Amino acid sequence: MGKILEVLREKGITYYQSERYNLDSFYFDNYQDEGELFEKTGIFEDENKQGKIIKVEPKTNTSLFKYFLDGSRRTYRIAEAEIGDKLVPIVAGQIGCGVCRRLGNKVKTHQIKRKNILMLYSRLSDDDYKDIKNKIEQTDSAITVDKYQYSSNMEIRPENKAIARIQDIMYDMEIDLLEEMTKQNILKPDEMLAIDGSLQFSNIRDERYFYNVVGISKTFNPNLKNMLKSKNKSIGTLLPKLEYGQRTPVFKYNQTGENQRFRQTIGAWYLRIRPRNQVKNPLDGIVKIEKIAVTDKEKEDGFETGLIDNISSSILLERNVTCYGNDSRWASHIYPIYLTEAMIKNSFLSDIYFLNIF
Amino acid sequence: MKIGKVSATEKSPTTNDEFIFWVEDNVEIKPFDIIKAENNIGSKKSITYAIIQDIFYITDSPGHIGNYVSSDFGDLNSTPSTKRLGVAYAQAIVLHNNKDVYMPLRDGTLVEFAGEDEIKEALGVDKIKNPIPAGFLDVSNNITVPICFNSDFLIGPEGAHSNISGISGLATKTSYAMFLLQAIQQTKNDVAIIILNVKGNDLLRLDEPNPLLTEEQKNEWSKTGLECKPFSNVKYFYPYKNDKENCFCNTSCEKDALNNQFQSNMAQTYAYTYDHDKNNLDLLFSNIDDPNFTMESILNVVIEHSDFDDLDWDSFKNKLGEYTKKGQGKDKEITVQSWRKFTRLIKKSITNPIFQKSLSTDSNKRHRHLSDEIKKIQKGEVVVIDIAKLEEQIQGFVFGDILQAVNNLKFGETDRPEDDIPKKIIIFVDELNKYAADNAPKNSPILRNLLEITERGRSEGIILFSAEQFKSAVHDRVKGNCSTHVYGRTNAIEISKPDYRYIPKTFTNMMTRLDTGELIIQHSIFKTLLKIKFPYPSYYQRKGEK
Repeated sequence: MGKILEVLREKGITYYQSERYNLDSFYFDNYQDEGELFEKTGIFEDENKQGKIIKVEPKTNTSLFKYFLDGSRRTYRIAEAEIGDKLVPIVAGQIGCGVCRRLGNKVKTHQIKRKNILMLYSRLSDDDYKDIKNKIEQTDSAITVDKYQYSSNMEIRPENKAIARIQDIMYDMEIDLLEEMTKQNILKPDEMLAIDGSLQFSNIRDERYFYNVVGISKTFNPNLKNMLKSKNKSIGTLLPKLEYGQRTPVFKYNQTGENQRFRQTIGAWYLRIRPRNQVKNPLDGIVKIEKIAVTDKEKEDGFETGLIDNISSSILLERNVTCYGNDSRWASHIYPIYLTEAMIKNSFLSDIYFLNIF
Repeated sequence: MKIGKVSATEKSPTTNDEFIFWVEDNVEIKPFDIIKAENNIGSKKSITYAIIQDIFYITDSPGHIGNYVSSDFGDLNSTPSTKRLGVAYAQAIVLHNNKDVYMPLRDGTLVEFAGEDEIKEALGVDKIKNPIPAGFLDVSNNITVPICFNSDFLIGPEGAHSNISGISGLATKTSYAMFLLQAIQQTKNDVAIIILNVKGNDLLRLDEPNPLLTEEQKNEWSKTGLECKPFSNVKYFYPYKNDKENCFCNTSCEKDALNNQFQSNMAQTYAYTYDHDKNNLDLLFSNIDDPNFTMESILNVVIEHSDFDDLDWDSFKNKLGEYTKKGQGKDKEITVQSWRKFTRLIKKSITNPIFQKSLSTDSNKRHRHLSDEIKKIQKGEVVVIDIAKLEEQIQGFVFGDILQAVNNLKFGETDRPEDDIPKKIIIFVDELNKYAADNAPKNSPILRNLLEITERGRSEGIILFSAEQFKSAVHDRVKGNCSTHVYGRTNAIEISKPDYRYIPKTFTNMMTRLDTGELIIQHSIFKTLLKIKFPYPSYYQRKGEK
């Protein structure tokens, strides 16, 4: 056992060597938009109040997007420890968040943030936790210690709770990156940032960071309701009928009541970026795009239809080149985001190396 | 100039012999460029030099289908917003480390072009003793490095004999051989050169400057460290023919040039007489299969039997006629059929005008015995013997005669004092496959002479420079004894032959793409094969010649 876990033993915490392995292949992520509820108040764009399907035609060959942000993490089970009368896992993770920018038609790294993290069960006393954290972080300044919540009456496994916490930390890092870029005035209406995934961060400090930002999701819950005229019908019944270049109207997320998860006003729409006859599954080649309403006008009336069309046509332009053959999600995966993901993953330590740090 | 970084992966580690490095986007490199990288192990800092062998371009697409899909499923007009991730990388072979460090290069090490002095050190050409210019190396970062052979390994005593191969008209074999011989004449003063002109009139005006040379072409000579000038001390020998209009020569050399040569006393004709050259008749049978040694037996009779003494060529033919009559019974061991075969073969050749009753005293004809003239060869002389218009059998005869003359000279069978004789005599012959074919009869006297020269000649100072289209057609022991091999442009069939088995694939592939004037050389002291260029010929070239 490494020096790092010895710190726990010095505190009198019993832990046991267990098989160390990468957790990523054991647990499936839920849809990022799981449990999402859309407002029944209708369409969230100014000129398409009838909620028609719109055919987007790219008017130029230049995409609005210049920056692409992605986060990635790898999680590992390291050991089991007796903490607070429970036998709980010690989970570690490598987190990376990065932004790539496109110069001409080549993608280069703009910025990358990395963290190696050790997750302990939160039932440790505050003093013990603080002590362990200080000692470990002094032993190896590349390791950060954090804690995860877990209760045995939860249906969810403790590993999943640790992974969820790691995921939250990753989102925080993404926000940090975005905040830095905003403060440096890097983003512009014709040099926008595309974030891989949903914009449903729970810790957005200032929504103005998202003025020139959209979120593009490759996967989404097709059974969300309240978007179609027949409110009980899922969006998934409409999407397969979209033709190449067609988008749905913009829908608004519910902000009120007990289901309110975010303070921001978010609009979402779906765009087909691959012809139906070129993909295997009915929802392949469809992306879900989200934008946060920042101005009062946007929050009130919805987004300008023209802006939505421009963003959509830019995303259409991003459909080539593809990562066909390298990623099963190729039909909905934007290549610069794929490269950003690859850039981050290449900054990770190998599993063997990382597992033996502890 | 920095060009890239070393890349070591799980599946493709760097080794002490080779490594891969990726190349920065805007950098241009070529095979045979020389590069360097720091190789620091602990406190020991050294530089590893390598030569680029292969260059690749790789992308992250797992297959061609992926690329097709990325072009909107086969739309030629599709223009992607983002260029596919791709990188050029090169495989390099380690040549040298300046502190004898054999450790593989580390991943991420910066790779740079080597400078001129570094290239020389890497190739082992910085400290060449007794240099003889071989051409020059043009590398990517606009550096030209003159390359030299070590004469001890080019013309002995350590190593000797050179072979040049390549397709006719493209490989510039003769031009390079002449360049090399010019380099030797300019750098050595104790060497004599014998050149056989086997085709047209290519080599019959070596003493005249090339009127077609541009300034740039002349400057290329200075890159090699040589003067741009034609050969000096040249003598020409032409086969005799009773053609007064053509100075009694059987040649395709232009009349004006021929006249000038004769007027300047640079040219003679050669002829063969029975009493002087009867002992060389076996040379006419070099390419004749003689499994039962009947031709050899007949030749022995001709040489030794008194019936064949004191004749001339005509009376010799008549004498042979007697032996071909049925029932003559003159020699019970040799059949009449054999004599008839012998007679038929001999008659085919000795009707040629170079076979004369005796040497004429007419000064216009300038008859000479070629072998006698060869034995008088001086240091620094270039002797050109024209055999182009002779038929193949007689070409072999003349070549064999020259070889024997040189052997006799160097093996002390003349009265000349040792230090008067050139220390080295270089013989250049084109179409070596005619005289030393891989399927030549074992008892061919020319083959025997050539083997003698290539196997033992270097210590005696008899050096063979040879050329042919296809190396694979030449006898193994002849080409195998060459310490320098030069390859010009050739074809894919040739490089599939066993001769090329041990040459790295990059070089053999390159051989099928070489431009005129580009050659790949292999020399004992070079650490690797080199692709070199050499200057345009400095001797007379006709318009339309390359």
